Amino acid sequence: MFNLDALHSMLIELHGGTLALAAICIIGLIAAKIHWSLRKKSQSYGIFWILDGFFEWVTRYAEPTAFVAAIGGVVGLIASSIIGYYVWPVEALLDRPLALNKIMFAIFATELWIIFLAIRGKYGENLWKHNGLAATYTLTGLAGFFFTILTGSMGGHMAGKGSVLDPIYEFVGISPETPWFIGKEMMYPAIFITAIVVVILLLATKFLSKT
Amino acid sequence: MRKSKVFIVIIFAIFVVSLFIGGNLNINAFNNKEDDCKTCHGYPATSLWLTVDKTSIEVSPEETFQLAIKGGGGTTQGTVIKIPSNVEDNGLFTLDNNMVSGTTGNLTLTTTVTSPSTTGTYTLRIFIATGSGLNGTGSSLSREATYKDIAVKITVPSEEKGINLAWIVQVTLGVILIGVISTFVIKVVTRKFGGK
Repeated sequence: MFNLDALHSMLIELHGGTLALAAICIIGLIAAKIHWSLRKKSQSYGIFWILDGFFEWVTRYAEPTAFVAAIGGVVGLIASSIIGYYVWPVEALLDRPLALNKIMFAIFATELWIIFLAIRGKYGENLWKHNGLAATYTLTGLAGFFFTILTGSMGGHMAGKGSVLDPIYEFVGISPETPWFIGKEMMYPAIFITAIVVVILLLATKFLSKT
Repeated sequence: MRKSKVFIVIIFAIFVVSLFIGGNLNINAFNNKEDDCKTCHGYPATSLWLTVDKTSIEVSPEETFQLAIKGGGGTTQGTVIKIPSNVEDNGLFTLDNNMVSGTTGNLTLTTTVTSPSTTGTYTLRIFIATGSGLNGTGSSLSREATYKDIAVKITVPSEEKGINLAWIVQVTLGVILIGVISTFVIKVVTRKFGGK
């Protein structure tokens, strides 16, 4: 019988690595997009023609790599979350604000990476022809990676190893061990505000579809 | 040849004397040391006494609490009440004041302690030490130390324990908002695609 703890660790390494690769590719694609845009618009930037070959190479390889790496990352993220429930005692997960923070960020990260894949799946490589959509695509991926980093950082604390983000937590005066969620007194105002935002956005989306 | 032997003997003698002097300097009772007092001071103490107003306490992560420590019975060579950072879990606590020293008579140390941020049970060890010179030998004044342990249990307050409704609501609202905002933004930016 294989060790679930080892499997959990392996899946964490898998999704951490593949999602980091996806994020690096996204950053490369943003750099390439900026380069091509400046090459078109700015004459003084023309001296950087030397980078054309490099950014052509980045665009050709980073675009599909980001997509494939994100698929692997999402599969690894979901699998490691499921295995994680079996590895850690339920009390350790539900009685600690640290674990609840980690689960929350893992859920947000998974959702953002799924949206990232959905955009790429629906619009394909054509999304890069549209600046707005390309920006949404890349920002979704980077936001997903941000939550992935936070999730990994909390995991480091749960394993008792700490995190490289600890100096940042210390600098901003927060602790990953304390609850990062709203109290009971803020619950109903939060539901009310969210409901209003959702209704407005859904109506606006419908209105946009008609016009 | 003979001269060189004499020279080697002198150097060796200087080395031995310096070790002896250095050793003596090191074993003097320095109240700025952060190590286990028992290493250099005899334990258990016969003349020292130490009391703390708590033997155990249960607090939240990063919560502050006060300790009132009293001690005495030391020699005229000096007595110190100290919470050294390199002993037990002491280094994980933040203290506004970790030492009081004096000669004979009673000493009082009042300190505000901030607990560690991680849940668990920790030991805070408080020492009282007195005297200098070798313990029992080489000095008419004894060097001795004793300590008290405080068990500090760090737990999450009951109202924050467990998967609570506020957490479920926050995660649900977060998921809804991320989904709806993303859909809206995609809809806006793809209008030029003809709603594709």
